[in-house]
Amino acid sequence: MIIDKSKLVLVHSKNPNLADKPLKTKEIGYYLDSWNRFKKNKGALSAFYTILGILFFVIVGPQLKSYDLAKTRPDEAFRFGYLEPKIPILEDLGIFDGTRTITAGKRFLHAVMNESFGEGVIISGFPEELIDNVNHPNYANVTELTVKVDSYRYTNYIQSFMPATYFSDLDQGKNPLAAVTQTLTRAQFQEYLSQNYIIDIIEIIESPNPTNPEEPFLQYKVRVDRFKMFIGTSPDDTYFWFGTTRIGQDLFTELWTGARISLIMALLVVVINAVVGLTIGSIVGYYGGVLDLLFDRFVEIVASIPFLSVLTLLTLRFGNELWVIIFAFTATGWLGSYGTGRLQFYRFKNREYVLAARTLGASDMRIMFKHILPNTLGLIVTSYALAIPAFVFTEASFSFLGIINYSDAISVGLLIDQGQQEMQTYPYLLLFPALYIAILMISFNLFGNGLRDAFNPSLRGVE
Amino acid sequence: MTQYLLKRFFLMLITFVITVFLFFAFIKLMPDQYLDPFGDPAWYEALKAREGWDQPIPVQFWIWIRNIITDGSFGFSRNKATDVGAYYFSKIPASIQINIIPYFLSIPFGIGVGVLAALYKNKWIDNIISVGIMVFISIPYFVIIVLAQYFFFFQLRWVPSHVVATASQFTEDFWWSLSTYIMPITLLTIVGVPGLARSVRAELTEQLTQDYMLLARSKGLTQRQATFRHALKNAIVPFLPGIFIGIIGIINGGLITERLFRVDGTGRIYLDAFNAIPPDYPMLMLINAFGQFVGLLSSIVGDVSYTLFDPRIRVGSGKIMS
Amino acid sequence: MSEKILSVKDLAISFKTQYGILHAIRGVSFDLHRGETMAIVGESGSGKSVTSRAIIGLLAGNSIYENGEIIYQNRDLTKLPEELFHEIRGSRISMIFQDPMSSLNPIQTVGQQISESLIFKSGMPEDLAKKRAIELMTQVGIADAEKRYYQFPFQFSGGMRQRIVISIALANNAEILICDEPTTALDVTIQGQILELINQLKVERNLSVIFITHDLGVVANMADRIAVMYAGKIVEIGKAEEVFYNPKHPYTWALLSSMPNLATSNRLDAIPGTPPNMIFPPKGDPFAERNKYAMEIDFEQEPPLFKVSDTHYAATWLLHPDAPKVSLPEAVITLQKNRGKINK
Repeated sequence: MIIDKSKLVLVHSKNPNLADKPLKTKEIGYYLDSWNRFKKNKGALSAFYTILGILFFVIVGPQLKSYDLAKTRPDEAFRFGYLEPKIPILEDLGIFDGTRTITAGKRFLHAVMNESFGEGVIISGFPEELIDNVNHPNYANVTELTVKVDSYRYTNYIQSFMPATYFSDLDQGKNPLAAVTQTLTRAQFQEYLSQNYIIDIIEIIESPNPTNPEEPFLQYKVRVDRFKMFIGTSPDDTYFWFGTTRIGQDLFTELWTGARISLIMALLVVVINAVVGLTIGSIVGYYGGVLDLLFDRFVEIVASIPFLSVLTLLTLRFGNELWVIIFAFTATGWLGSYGTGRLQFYRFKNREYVLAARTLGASDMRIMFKHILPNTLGLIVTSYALAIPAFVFTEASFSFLGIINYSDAISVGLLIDQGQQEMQTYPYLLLFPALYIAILMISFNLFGNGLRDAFNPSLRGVE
Repeated sequence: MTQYLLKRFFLMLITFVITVFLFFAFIKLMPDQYLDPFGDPAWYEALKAREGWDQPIPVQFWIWIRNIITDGSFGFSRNKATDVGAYYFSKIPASIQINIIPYFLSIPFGIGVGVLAALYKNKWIDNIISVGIMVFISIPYFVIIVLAQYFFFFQLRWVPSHVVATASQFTEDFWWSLSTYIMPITLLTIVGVPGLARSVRAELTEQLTQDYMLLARSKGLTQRQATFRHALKNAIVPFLPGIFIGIIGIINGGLITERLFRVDGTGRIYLDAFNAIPPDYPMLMLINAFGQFVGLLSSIVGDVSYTLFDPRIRVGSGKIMS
Repeated sequence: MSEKILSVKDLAISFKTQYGILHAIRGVSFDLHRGETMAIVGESGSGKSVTSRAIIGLLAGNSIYENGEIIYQNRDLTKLPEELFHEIRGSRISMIFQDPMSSLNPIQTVGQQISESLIFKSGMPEDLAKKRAIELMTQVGIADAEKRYYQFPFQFSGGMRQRIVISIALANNAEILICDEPTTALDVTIQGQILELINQLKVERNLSVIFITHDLGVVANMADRIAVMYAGKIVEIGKAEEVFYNPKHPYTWALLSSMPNLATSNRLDAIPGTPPNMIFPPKGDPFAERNKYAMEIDFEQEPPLFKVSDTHYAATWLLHPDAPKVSLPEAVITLQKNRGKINK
């Protein structure tokens, strides 16, 4: 082998003592390191973004549409119930275009096809032959037809112009337009006219005016365009992204309102559990002794009370206010944090002797916060991240069952319950809330798992 | 060991009694407790005497317990107009009926899926399984069932009905009625699998990395032999107590299951009692006490099985000899 | 010397890690002769465990065979598929590990763990296997074997457990026994017992032993030959007397100097620094950074194995004919001086 012989020279002849070289790599802090690990987990990262998206809608969603007819005029709002979801861009692709398939009387549909007000209501399915001749022989035995309609226009039609029972009412000798006729005074008439609410006048009734025979009282029986009057826009320009509920609420608004409530409650519950649990746990862990024994018994009793019992008792006694529910969740929920807090302080206490030798009284607190806290922080953040979906899950389940039944608030579980009852005819009422919960839960779980893996690499591979 | 168990049992019993009493007391403090059930004064007086409504609460509790022991009676339900206990216990078979098969099916499936996922860790099988587990564990159980009902019954008509057959329907057409159980049982099994699968997967993965696996292979066992004879057994042992506890839990009718599938079991009774006006307190009392009792049994079973399965506890304090 | 039974030639193995490719072994060669104990000595990370795992075919999943062969019974073990390899393990080549507590299955009786090898490898029926297992247990020094057959690992002390592990390893009469730091987890007094047991069994069964350790002191009574490893290569190899009393590599000197020695009152010479990161193997001699006797060339070219005698080789530029002469460290000189005394 050929080598450079001149290199056969000792390097350390002068200094036989070697020293350790300083490390070349930079120290990465625990948090930055964890964040890096978290980023690598693609599932968790996309879950994180999804959660951000949901949060965005939770904050912004309820305000997006200023439609609160169900609250202000519930007697009118129900008329706009069951509108199909309609979403601006997607409607051109054929989904969520606000259409629905209905079955109605042949004569009625024929009328719809031929009235000017009924333009655009029926989209497809009405046989050609019947358009001009309702008594076409091909359909002599048919009394009902199934067609696809634009639910917005259709609703406006039957609520403002002609009820679906028009012809059968006519057959029975009843006033077929009773449902859609409004009786107005002259003043109201003038106003509605100026606002363009009037479709047409059916009748003007004169009644004599005793004081001024020249100007009799006039009553106007009219048909008004309800969409314009109560919603403010024409059917074509009205977009309920998730459709409307049975009583005419905008499902989109309701869903995000319910979501917002449940997330806020989740946060509150988690925070209260944490504060109460950690505080009590720390005190018990710190002082130990008799207090510890007492609490041990106490905690065991509390732990063995099933949550359902607590919830039942509290709601039966105190009603369904939000704070009752929160209290129910925290009544047994603080136990987890209690355990953690107590454990941490217990561990710390054992090292107290070492610390006592080295420090002066007050410094104990500082060391506790500087050393114990970072270790616990990882655990805390992860378990609380997972506690939020646990709350949402339980709350949704119980409000679905009706055990939790807010008097004046909305819950996603309730929406699913309502949706479930109507899923045969109006599946969208079920699908949207169900999808929301599914996505929320999956994202939170992925996120929580990602957090746990990031803060605690030794647990990797464990779901 | 038996000493230890006895002590535990005794403590649990005390806790049980205290919690039942607390519940009882709380209920008795409810404002609408002592209403007249039928508008019949004679009946009201009889009931009052029997249950001691004019006595202080602890005495009432004692009377209640005495009634249970002497008459086997847990109280009288206004709503159902019958003895609470008789009514409730008559519904238990229906609950067990719908719970039992899914439970026993979900165990081997759960273990199997978990084992598969662990053995093929990070390959595509594991990834699919992990995603499936994640989805089914996250989505609330009732959402899954409702969606399944929607798709499989209303849309696709793959199953005969979205609710289970009633007893009378059974007498009419046995096979059709039986087939209505297919969807609930399948769904309940599917919902029960992910939890166990996830734990088994984690535990097995952990065990496969243990040193004794290395020794097993170094003595010439194939990977397969070592996995099944060593790692698998060690992985499953921690879950056995849980499985036994679960068997006891079959008795409890799932509220959601019974509501969604219209099963005439104990879960519905709870909702009925809760939603009645006024609430059916005696029924609630029974349900709660019974539930706690089941919990007590479960704890005992759990403790016993722990000692059975872990030799370290069983053989005693592990005297170490050299 | 007796015949060669195992030959490792130029073995190079790497591992795929998330930080890069780790070059664990970079060209290791040695032979194992029948009936001899070959000790492989080195720090953590030197590659000694990887070498032994490679011989028994139990490397981790992310391992890559870069180069080299392991010849046993005319077959190259590096190319042997798993279906054939498991037949060799246990019956021909066996291994015992560092921590006896975790090596044994905690929820299975020790007797069953021994019988298992007999049943699966030798096809013995259960009752015969049980008898044989009890015999083995007695052979390795466990009293009351009949009764203890049914006990669990946690009921045994550390030394006892290691004996059980040894009996499992030798149940099927393997001819090569690899011991991967078997006494590191045991008390010093027990250490001696286990080492003696291994020696005794070696003689009784004419075993060939590969003994892996980081403790030169342990090796003194066990080894016929010693190979010193550093950073994935053998830096010195030779007969035990040669390596102890005529070491040529500065790393061997450093190891010998860092052994506590009650006889002298010299300062303990710790080796400063840490072994290099084998994801980025350094240029030149990997030991150069921590080497008191490093030369300029050590930082540029890795030294080849220089021959000291037919049985003794060392990879250091100091053995180059033109290299400067250096004085041996004190500890080595002391050893040499005491050699005569010990033998008396």
